[in-house]
Amino acid sequence: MSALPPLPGFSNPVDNAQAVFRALLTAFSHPGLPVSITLPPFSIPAGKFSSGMLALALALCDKDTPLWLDAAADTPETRRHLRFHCGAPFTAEPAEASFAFISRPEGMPRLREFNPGLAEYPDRSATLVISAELPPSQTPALELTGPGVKGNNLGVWQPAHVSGLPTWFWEDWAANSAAYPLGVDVVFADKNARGPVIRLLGLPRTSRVRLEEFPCM
Amino acid sequence: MMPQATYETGKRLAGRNAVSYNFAYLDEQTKRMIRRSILKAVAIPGYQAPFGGREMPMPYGWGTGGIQVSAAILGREDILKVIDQGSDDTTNAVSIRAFFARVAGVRTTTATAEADIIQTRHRIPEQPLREGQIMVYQVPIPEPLRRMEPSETETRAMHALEEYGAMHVKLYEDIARHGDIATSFDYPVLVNKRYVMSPSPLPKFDNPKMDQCPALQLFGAGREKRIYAIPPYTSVRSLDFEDYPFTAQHWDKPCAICGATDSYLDEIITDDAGTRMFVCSDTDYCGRRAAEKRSAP
Repeated sequence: MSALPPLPGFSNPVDNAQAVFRALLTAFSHPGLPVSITLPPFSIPAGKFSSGMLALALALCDKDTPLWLDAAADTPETRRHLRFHCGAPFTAEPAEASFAFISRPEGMPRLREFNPGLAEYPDRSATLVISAELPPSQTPALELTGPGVKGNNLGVWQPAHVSGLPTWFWEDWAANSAAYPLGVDVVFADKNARGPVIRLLGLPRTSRVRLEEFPCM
Repeated sequence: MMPQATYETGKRLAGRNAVSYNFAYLDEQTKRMIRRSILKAVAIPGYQAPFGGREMPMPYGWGTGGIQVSAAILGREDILKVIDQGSDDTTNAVSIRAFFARVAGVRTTTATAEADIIQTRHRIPEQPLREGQIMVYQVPIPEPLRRMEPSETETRAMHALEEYGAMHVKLYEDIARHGDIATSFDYPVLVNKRYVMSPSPLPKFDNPKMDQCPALQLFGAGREKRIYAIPPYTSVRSLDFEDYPFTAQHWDKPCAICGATDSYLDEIITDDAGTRMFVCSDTDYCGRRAAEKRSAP
């Protein structure tokens, strides 16, 4: 156990948490469109937690939200930081998590292992924060549609650029969409965003996805 | 004289009589809880997400749900507009605007186009909303099926099973009794083809504005402790029948002040003899049009 005092959290907890929340609200309101914000510098503990993942944890997690960390993200320094600043309990079971933080998506559990909520209370489902590549605009892209996509009623698809996910991910996502209103919601945090600049891309359960590479999907 | 208040987070004024609220009144743990409910509500359009409603410094029925939603989303740079039945200058609107100017120090406006967040009781502004704006509705009774089914357990099950027959029977009974769907406000809608939702007591005139609206719409019910949402660009269909399609109200006369023919009109009795006039309920829209008319040659 380190005897050093814990690293500080946000430099301005009230305004920074509000800014991160609004960025995520915008990301969920406009799925597929990356949302960038710049926060004042804040400390990031040693480990695989990116600044975006940490900002979301500091803004949204507390004693009411059990957290699940993937093996890569789960370092003693990260745990200590989250325990001190969020007061959140940790769980070893993906199914028990309110928020799951995944820094190495290649090895993540299948989506069905997370809590999809209850038929009467679909809001009691997990939110997955996944560290992924959000390249500016290269192929391969995927396209998505649903609420939040302008023209979704006219058959318009929104291109989105996310890579670094396991091969089964979009197959699982199709199953997640099919279970609507049950299902998990995903936010991708750019793993290449450095320091206090964070980039998020929202994928709420209402978004249906097709991949350009596989036109049959 | 009232003590001068300061709302700088984390700082307490050393001076005498200094008052300090957290930014936007609510504590941070409460805001996080409300924010998580809002995010889930956006992910499940039209679904009523429960939240731990707090006591607010005003009675239930005065917009405590809308105020908690606004307090959870407000940032220092946001510009806030508050309307009550379309009007910026009624008691409810004035006091909520003053509340946030005081506890959050945010700028307020009456101009629809300038506002980032519009908290509303029972109207949607006439001027079309734009992307990036957030509407916050004050909701008295969030459950559209409540009049047909008093039990919350039952209505939860009805929503889970998509069992909305009772609502159609109610609309059918309207037709059988009145020859027409007589519901003229709080007219139920189907959101994203899945959840039947109460649009709060909006006149049905405003229902079509919710469909594919570019702005995010959030609904807060303080007494019932529910939050629900319509994300931007979402399908919102007023329930109806093929042979009795949904129709909005319309008026034979234009607004007596600005001459608008496309707005929702309020009836105003002007004397004891029953003389009446019809004027726009949206005071910002009406005032702007009247000013343009005056300045036109």
